[in-house]
Amino acid sequence: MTRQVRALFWRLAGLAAKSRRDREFAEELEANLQEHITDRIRAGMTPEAARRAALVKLGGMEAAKDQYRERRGIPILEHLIRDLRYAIRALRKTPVFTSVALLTLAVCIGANAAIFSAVHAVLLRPLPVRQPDRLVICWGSDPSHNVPVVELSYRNFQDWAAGSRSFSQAAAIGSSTWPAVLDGHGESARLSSAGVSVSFFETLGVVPAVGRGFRPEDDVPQAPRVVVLSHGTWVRRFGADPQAVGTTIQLDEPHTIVGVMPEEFDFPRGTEFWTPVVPVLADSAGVWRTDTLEKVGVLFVIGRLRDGVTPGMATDELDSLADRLEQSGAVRFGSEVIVTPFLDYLFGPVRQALWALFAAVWVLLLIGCANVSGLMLTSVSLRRREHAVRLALGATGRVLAREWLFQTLILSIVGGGLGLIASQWIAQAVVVLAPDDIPRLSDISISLPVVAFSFGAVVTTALLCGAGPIRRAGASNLIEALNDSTHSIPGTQTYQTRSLLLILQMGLSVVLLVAAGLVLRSFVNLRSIDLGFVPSNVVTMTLDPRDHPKPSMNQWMHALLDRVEALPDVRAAGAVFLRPLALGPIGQETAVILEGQPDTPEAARGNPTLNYQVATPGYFPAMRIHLRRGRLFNDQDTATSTPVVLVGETTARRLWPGQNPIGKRILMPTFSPEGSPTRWRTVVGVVNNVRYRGIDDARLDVYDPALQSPVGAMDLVVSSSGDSRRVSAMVQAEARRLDPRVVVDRLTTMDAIVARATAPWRFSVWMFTVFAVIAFVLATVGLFSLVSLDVAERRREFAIRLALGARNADILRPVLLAAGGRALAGVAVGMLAAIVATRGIRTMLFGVEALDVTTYAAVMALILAVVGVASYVPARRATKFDPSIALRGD
Amino acid sequence: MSKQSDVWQGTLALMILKTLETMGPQHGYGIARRIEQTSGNKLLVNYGTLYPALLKLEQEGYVASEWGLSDNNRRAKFYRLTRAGRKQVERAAREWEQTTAILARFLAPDEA
Repeated sequence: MTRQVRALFWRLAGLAAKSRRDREFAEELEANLQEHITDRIRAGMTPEAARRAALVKLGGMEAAKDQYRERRGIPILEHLIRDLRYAIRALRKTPVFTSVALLTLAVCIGANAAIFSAVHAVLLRPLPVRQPDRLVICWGSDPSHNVPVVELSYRNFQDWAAGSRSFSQAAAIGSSTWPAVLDGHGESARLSSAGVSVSFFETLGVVPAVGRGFRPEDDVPQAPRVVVLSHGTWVRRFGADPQAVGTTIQLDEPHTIVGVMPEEFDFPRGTEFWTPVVPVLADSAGVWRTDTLEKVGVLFVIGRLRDGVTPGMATDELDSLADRLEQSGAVRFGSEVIVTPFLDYLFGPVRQALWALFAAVWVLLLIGCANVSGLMLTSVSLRRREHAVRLALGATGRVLAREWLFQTLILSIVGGGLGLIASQWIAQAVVVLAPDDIPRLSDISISLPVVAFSFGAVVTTALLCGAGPIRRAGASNLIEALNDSTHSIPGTQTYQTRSLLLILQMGLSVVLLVAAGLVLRSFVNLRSIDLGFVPSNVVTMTLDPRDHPKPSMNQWMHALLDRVEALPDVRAAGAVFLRPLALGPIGQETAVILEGQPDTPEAARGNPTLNYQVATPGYFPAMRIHLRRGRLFNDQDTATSTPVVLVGETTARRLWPGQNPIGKRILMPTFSPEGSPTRWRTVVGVVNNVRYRGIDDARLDVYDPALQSPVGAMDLVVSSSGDSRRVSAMVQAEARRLDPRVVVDRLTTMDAIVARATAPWRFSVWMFTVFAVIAFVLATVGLFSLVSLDVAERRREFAIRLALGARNADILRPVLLAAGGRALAGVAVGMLAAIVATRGIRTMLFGVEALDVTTYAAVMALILAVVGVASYVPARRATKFDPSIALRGD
Repeated sequence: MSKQSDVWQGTLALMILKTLETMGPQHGYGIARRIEQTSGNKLLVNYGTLYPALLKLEQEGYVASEWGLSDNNRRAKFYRLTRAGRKQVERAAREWEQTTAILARFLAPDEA
């Protein structure tokens, strides 16, 4: 064994310094020959005869040298190195082919790796939750009142947790995060809290990294308040001090820290601390003036499905539980129960968008492979003569095929390397473009799985690109190759293969173009929606005055607004309860009773549910919400004046169809001013509809004046002609002057809020458009080079026909028809594929059908136009051949 | 072996080693001559076989080579047995004897 290793070592060494060793061996042989001759002469031969005999005996010096060489080195390795050199030389000799192929692969593999990184970061990395696919999240829904999401009460949760056989575990969680001001650890700031039931961490299957979770005794009314901090808050605010656990902190009121969650646990997203929900609800009973555990819906329910239970089965069971609860006299939240898989809730449409993009980049990679493959087929075809000569000199088809295999591998590996570099940039672009509320996307990195994946992509690429050309090269037949190198119509088989590749490319790029077109139209539709307000030049922030009693907060806000309106550059300033696009579909619903109807829950249920808002007089001019009839609020609408409301246009139309709404009176049982639960409010004006809950979510708006509402209007909006940062600094300074401990939060511009709300669509538009354009360019390059090849190979035929009097049109027509036919076949295949494939992106579409005729027609028109140009330009060269040159030249 | 025949690789290696053991350092031509003579000119040593075999033995460390002067005062490459080579001769010779002994039993007239 060791002898063999030693021999192998020497043979490896034998690969080096070849020419010196060759010389040495030649010398040795020569010496041998001379000895032989001398010997024979001594034996009595003539020198000539001796020499001949010696040479015969030597058995052919060159053959001996060859055999010697084979033993000296390692033949297979030497051949590999030689083939590798050949391949590199061939690639360098065709720089256009090489650079187009490399660029194609780099772009395709780069895009592939980048999107895979995103998919991996967001979707594939395990969530820090046990079996997330078995979790569901539930809420109510009231479709007949156009309220898609109705939050549940704590009572509702308790009933389900006790009675449901679908769930092995269940937990309640606040439908949105709730703010609380932390004092004493750095600058006072509003933190986002998630109110949860005791069972929350156990249901999700997570345990705190430090300290403990919640205990049943934490989750009863008037229990001492406890919190579990997020890892980020613990690090930022408490210096990651384990001793912080057990201490008491001021979070609106004293809370004891009992634990810290692991770093990767971030649900609900952005939560800074978790706290038991029952004490929170019980404490707010004063504000709501009702049994908050029973009658206030602010919760979702998370359930862990038992084995074999589907979300559909859970829905049925929870529906019947809700019916039973309602029959027992409790308030029912929503007319039906909606059960959503937890992963769908967590990632929303992003999940589908990412998978769709992932499919798209694979399609892109396929198109790229087809292109490189096509280029190589052309290259093989153009080098048929060279192959023929080499076959004649003793090369085998296998050698030629190996050389092409090496070309493929070199292209794929170098292309893959460039692609990995490109993927870093593409990944960064993805992060910048992506909506900032995609969970975990910021953790995107080109990590080991990504590299492994890219390698897989490269190998796939190599196989797909190389398979065709390698078979062609390996099949090179000497006689055939020499015979048909310039005559007849060569490379029919090559042309057919390339035609198939072209049809594939065209088809795939049609799929991407259609998808891009649909997403683009959705985006245009979305952008053309009238939001009901003008977001430009509006600064917004949430204020939390600390030195002011909560009930009179709106008075404080009025005082601040007076000062803000006096600031330079400020056009208008106002405040609202929930600014538009704040919490998604979550907001404040209110029931309504019209004059003449009895004040009963049944009557309320017969009326539409309204989106309750509270606003100051300046809010409407600041947001440029237009008055349609009547008047806006003014400074005379105070706590002591006649209660008034403003309604949105649709609200007016729904409540009083065909009538003048001004002067009508309504009752809002949910929100009654202090002490008078049945106070009637008079409609004084109608304003245009505003999209509060989402760009594509129209509701029925109703506004209370701030001074007449128990609910705070703390979202400030300031419209100005000045720089937004300077304006917001001035506004904050004014607020501090009124209340030095005021906490300013959620500072942004309305433009940014709108941009964020459209971000998922903008992201999809960018990604699909870019990939579709790249795909289409690649396919066009493929078409162009196919027609060029066709024309170049048939130039002799064309020249003869032209010489015999054929008109240009006679030459052009068949070439164009052939190209057009293939492109059309591709388009047809692609259209069919698109009809199937676009089902996958249906949730990403808005205001456009997956089978939108306009989009399909536009894609068709675009492709036909480009196909026309891409085939006409090279085809025209067919008519430009000079017969004398074409016939003479090779 | 009516015709002059090629030698098997394994046997050739043993013949080379044995030649070097009995004759001392030799150049390639000398080795070939010696093998042919010893075989009574029944074996024909092809150089295309001899030199790769020598190279293999050298790579395996059984022989070493150096340039020297031949009897005819010509520069030639001389091969000599290394210590490992000597052991290898013994081992290979023993194996060969065993093999021939076994084969002889097969080829001997039936004794049963």
